[in-house]
Amino acid sequence: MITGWVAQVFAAVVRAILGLLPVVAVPAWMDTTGPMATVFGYAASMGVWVPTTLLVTVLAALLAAWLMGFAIKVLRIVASFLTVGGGSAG
Amino acid sequence: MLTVLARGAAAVGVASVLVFAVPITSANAWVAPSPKVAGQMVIGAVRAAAPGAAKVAVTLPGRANPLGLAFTAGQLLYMTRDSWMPWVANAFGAGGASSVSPAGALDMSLTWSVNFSPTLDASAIDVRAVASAYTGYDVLNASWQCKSSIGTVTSGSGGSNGFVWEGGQSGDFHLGNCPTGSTLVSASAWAGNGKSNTLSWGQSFDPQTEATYEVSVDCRLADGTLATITKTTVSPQGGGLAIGSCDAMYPGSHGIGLRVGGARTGSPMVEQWRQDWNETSTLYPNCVGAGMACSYVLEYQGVPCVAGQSACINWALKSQANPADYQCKYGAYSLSLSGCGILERVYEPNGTTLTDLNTDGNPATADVTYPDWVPAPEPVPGAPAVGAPGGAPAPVTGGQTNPTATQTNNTDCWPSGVAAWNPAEWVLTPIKCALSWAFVPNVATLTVLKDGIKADLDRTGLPALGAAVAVPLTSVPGGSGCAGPEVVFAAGGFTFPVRPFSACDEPLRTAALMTHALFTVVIVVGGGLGLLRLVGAGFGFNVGFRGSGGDGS
Repeated sequence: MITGWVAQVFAAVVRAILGLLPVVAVPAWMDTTGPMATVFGYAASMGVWVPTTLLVTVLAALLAAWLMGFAIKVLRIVASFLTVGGGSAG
Repeated sequence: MLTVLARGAAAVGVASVLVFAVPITSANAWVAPSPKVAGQMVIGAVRAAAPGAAKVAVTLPGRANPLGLAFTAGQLLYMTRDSWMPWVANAFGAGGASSVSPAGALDMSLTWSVNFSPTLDASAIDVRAVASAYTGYDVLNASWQCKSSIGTVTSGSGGSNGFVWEGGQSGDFHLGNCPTGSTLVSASAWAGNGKSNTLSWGQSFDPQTEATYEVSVDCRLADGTLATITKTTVSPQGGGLAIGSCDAMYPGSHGIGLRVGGARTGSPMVEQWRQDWNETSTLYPNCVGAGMACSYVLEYQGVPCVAGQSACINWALKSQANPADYQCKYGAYSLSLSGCGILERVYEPNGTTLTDLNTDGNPATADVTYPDWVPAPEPVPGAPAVGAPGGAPAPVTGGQTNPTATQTNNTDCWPSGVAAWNPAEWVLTPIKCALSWAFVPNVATLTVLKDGIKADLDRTGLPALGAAVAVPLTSVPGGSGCAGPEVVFAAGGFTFPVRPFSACDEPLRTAALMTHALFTVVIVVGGGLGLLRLVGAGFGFNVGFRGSGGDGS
């Protein structure tokens, strides 16, 4: 009940924010056969100089860690509003 | 460091553009005459036209600029024209001819002691006279012209041997000196009181003020026919020649040949130089001309794609997994798959087909219309739609909840069975039921909320943007080999593929290994520290390497 209500409020806020965003089409230069693909192709061919596999893996891990940290912080903030949480996590 | 690198890259880029790809957007250009070297004249190309003059446009996108390669050389030649202009002057006429007497009989011959060369000083030149009979002439005279670097012309002349030429006599006559800094332009010698018995060396007229030039450009028209544009320049005192524009005169055409002729004004024109270029349409000769139009077609396993064909829908992505199954064709010619980029979405259901044809043999100039296609979220295979049987329940209104939402062990919140006899259960069961009712969310409701958020997010197109980045990004780790990226330079109809980062041979192989190892260390250490900070930040820990303070001692 309560959790569902909170989830509904949260979803409503998120959907309201998403509704304010414009519709974005994928630009032509980001096309899979466009200039960006060419640049990434060049980057791929530089594998002998730069460890591209390791680089992409580390970047993905950093992104995941950032998202995880953000989620943990949000949870801590939410928990801080509850009496059992104690203190502020802001 | 970055600033230096950026400036250097910009300078290289600008220089490359000037040398290899100069699209000239004026209607008439001025061409500077250039020296005759080993029987051929290298024509300078273009300089900025004089104010008020018509300007020339050359070249179309996707086609090599025939004059672009000579642009830089032409500029250099124009700037140094005063040093080599005598070559042009002397090219119009050969030196060293025998003379004849007024009566027509060859009784005295005159020859130059050295071959023609504008770099010689007049004092190094002798006129040799040999009399085969009594001439009755007692005068042998010579004159010469010198021109300074700023265009000042000086003349000199000399006297005679002082005797009457008889049969068997011979003698040399020396010319005088050119002023310091001047070069010899022409010289003349004659015997007799008049100039009917003369010998010319060089050119007796000024090519800048007394000559006429014709520049003819051969144009290949869009329908495959040929046309010629001829421009005449009289007395180009500024050193430039007018050149016609294929594009301006015949829209859609391009130049395939250039001829330059010159002569003294009033004399018959003599072709001095010509240059023909290979037409780029020869790359696709079967696509040139009316009735021989070519268009783009994507083939899947040798069969042209049709709209709605599953293998051809989103073929740009599918071809990355199986590139051998897809071929891009321009008429009967095979292109790389990137050449069919404009066909990326035409095979979607109800896709748009290309109808504009290409008749000039240049795929880059075809008029095409990109189909207006906005990426839409693809449904998860096998998942029923919201509200459909077997799928997530459809959203309900009015605050009504699904009767199956309550997640409790007992539907009536009272102990039953044996538990009914346990007083503790009389307290625990209702409390547990109430807490579950209050805090355990309805899964179906959460699913509906999640689907709604996902639909709104997909509508914004952000997931498609993310996919557009993620797809090529995931292809980066797949690179292998030691050759590195290939860069292709195009100039004058030729292509020059270069692999500047090839590490297949020494010493770049060793350099690449060291660079790879260094990058590995940096990425591992930096990535590890970054992970530590990001995860710690979530828990309020600021992971750093600064000192934690001290007692100040």
